[in-house]
Amino acid sequence: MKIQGEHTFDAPRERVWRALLDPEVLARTLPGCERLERTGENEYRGVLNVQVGPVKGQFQGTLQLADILPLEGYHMKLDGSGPSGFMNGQGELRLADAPAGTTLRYDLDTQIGGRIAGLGQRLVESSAKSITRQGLEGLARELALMTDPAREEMVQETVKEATTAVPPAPPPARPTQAEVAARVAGDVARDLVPAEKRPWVIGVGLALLAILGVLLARSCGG
Amino acid sequence: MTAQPIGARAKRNEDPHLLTGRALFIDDLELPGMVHVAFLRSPHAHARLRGVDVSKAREREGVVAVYTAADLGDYWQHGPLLVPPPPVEGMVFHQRTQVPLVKDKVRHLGEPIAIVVAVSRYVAEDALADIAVDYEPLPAAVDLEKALAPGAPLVHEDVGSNLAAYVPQKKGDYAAAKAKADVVIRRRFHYDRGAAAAIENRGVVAQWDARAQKLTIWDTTQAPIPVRNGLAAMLGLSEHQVRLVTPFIGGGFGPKIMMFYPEEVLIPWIALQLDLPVKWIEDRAENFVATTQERGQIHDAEIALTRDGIILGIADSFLHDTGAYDPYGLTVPLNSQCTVVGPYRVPAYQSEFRAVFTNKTIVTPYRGAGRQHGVFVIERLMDLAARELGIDGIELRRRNFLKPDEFPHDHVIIYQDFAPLYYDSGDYEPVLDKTLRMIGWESFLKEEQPRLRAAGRHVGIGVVSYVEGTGIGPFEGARVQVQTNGTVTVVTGIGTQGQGHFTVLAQVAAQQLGVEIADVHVVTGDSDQFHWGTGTFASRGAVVAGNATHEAAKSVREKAILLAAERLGVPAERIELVGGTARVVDEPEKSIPLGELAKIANPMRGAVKPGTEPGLEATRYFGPYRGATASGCHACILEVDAETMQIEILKYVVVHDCGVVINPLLVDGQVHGGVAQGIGNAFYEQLVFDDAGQLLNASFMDFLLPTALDVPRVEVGHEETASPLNPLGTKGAGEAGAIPVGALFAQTVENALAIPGLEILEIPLKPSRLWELAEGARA
Repeated sequence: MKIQGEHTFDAPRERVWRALLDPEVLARTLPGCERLERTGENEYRGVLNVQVGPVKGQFQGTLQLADILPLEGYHMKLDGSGPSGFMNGQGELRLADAPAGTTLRYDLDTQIGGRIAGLGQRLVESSAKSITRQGLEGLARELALMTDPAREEMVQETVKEATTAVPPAPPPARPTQAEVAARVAGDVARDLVPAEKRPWVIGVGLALLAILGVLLARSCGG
Repeated sequence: MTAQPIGARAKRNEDPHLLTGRALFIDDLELPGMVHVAFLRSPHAHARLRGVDVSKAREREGVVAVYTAADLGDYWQHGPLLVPPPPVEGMVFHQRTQVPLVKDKVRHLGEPIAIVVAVSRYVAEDALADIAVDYEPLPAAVDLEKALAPGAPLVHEDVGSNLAAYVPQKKGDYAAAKAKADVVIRRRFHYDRGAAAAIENRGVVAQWDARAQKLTIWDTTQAPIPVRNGLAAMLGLSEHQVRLVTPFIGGGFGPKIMMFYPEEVLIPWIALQLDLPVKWIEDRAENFVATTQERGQIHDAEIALTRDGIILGIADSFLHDTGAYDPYGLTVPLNSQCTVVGPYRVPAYQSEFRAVFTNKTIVTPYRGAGRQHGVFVIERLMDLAARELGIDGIELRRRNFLKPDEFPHDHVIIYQDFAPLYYDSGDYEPVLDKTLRMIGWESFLKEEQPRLRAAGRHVGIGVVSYVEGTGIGPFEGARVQVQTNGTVTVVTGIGTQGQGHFTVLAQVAAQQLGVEIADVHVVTGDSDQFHWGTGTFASRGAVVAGNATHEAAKSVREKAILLAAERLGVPAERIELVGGTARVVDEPEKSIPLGELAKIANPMRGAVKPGTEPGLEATRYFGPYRGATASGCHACILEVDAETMQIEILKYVVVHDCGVVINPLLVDGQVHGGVAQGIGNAFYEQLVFDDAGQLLNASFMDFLLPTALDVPRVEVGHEETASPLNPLGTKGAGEAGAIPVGALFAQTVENALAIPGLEILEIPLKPSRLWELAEGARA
């Protein structure tokens, strides 16, 4: 499956670039990401929670960056596997100037296999799109908070002092698993259902998903 | 006694038990101290296994043991070849059978890598996540033609290609026949893979009794005795030390005749290792990758005919998908090869097939077992020939049917039982005539269809013929015993999965012994009760076990009559067995209940005479030297929605000739179920694999089965052409319902849509594919 597209951020190129290399930022913005840690030069290891249709699974994986051209982009390679199967991906991220900020172009080729492919196939594409969209929106929020370096330093100072009465701006809250799942469900429903029928179908879909979730939790966890 | 038990539309003896929830299914077993198993299965279809680390799983609380291939030691062996290749000149066969756990290379999705044994299935499943596996994914061989192309990824490198087998067979001189033909029609036909989707998945429970030194295995197999014998040998036990029980089973359909599945081999071994009862129940996700499948074939076939529509010859060359291993030999493609000649006179036949290894789940027989493809090829060729020659399709079939005086008919080529393909008996035109009457052929074509067409509706009609080889050997046995309470027990080794054996075999015994069908108690699938047998497959239960029961019951009847004659002081010829008693003809007041005779036959004092045996009991075996050929016709009327290409079956008729019918109600039931499965195969069920061998629709959300709404009421008619091959004159009926449905769908949908040039040459169909075909024909 191809994951291709572009997104324009309201942020200078340099700042977008920095965010794309910061595991903490990536961990916060990647939906379902539980952990992402640097294990070497341009190598990361992490844990990702993914739900595609009825299959919910934790994937342990590695992320490798290569051909890094500062401010231009890099090649990435993802390998993840877990009890519900595997997901691999490789492709390019590229940055370009845009009139009102910076455009990120992404072009990834992904493979999934095992139970997640067998059970979730018809929802995979919609789910992937949704996860991508949520990730980009999360990154946009991060970028909005990452103002100029001076202010960032000031915030850092504030945090360090810790005595001041003014509480520091909290880091952007990471969406919970349930929120991510609900958004994916909404996106999937939007993909599958014509616009005029959406409101009630999404409602019913979410209700069904909630029921399914409860059933799954019972059947998988009990 | 009023009606004869044989031929009676008797209700099933087993149903009260089943319908009130008292039947034992394998998952009902709860044994003290039982542990549970979960399998780690490969998410790759083709991958080198670089390493498996189970150390973390072993540490998890509640985990009892974890095994990989390395832990199995000498027990790690390739499974046996279940059916050797046929004795055909020029044949090639590469035997590559499955392994219990992957050691070096994964060859299909879901192949097991490791087993976790734990206090519960939940803990076992959780522990699967603790196992780290290092795979090196490899490109997969998925498409049949690409798999044979040079440079294709190899499923078994040591074979040198993905060719699993090559079998050429011929009858007469096809080239000469073709040279004389006025018309030769050649097409390519595709048939794709499906899953049998039994309502109950597989399961194995094993318990070692150290005091008795005896292993009991409960298994959902269709072959209890061969599995017992094989496992005893593998485990180093005597056959007598292993008791194999097949409880009630929710459908077999063939995949459960596959023997020595990895799970089947491993669960008993674990029970011995741990000295604990062990249970594994397959879940549906496992079933989609771990239970065998069938039906992927591509045929390039041609038929040569005279201008008058007389078949001069048929030639066929086809590819058969055997999956990652070929433990079941060549049964499925041989059946396809032998079914292409159909119910017709075919003077020249030339056929060759190539079985192909692919990185997909193993292929073994599934209800119909290759016959679907054969019927599809010949019936489609007949339809195309009818169109080309301007001869009515029914008339064309009549001109080529074998006539009653042409039986027995020798088709020369070798069949799955390794005997020449030989039709024992048949009478095809009355079956066709009855089918046409029941479907209302004439009136539909003359009156209804024009009216419906005028109203803009696309309603079509079709009829196809088929033959089915059934009731093959090698043998089954039965022990019949009159109990002292007057009931009769029939014990046999075949095993049962819902066919109605508890009733059919009871009817056969009741016929001889003059007792009520309900008073005959059938026991099957318990090797401690009867330890000889082959299994339930190839539409053979009623034929082979039925005739063994018949022979044993006849022998008991003789014993009972002799004993009664002695007691009542009359010649044996004057004794009849009626209503559970032995009585004197025309003097019914002189009688002895059968139960009483059973007591007398087992005396406490005195002596059993030399040359006789105690009790009213006999054991007999029956081995037909070749299979009996059943036949039939299916017809239907169905409507196609020209916009959505969804179909609705309005009427469905089956007329079946399975020789002497023991119980028409049960044959009806077999046919109904078969048709439902055939409809699924024709229009709903298709396993979709991607280029990497990933199964993309491994759940009932996406793998569609026909529902009660999609399956119409099936009207069944019976014709009876007795088989000369067995004393009961019966033939098998288990697969007939499923076999010709694809061919019938293709013909009927073409008739409904009436698009010139539309040729349906593939199964399964689905609305989207039908739309493409229709658009292609219109363009």
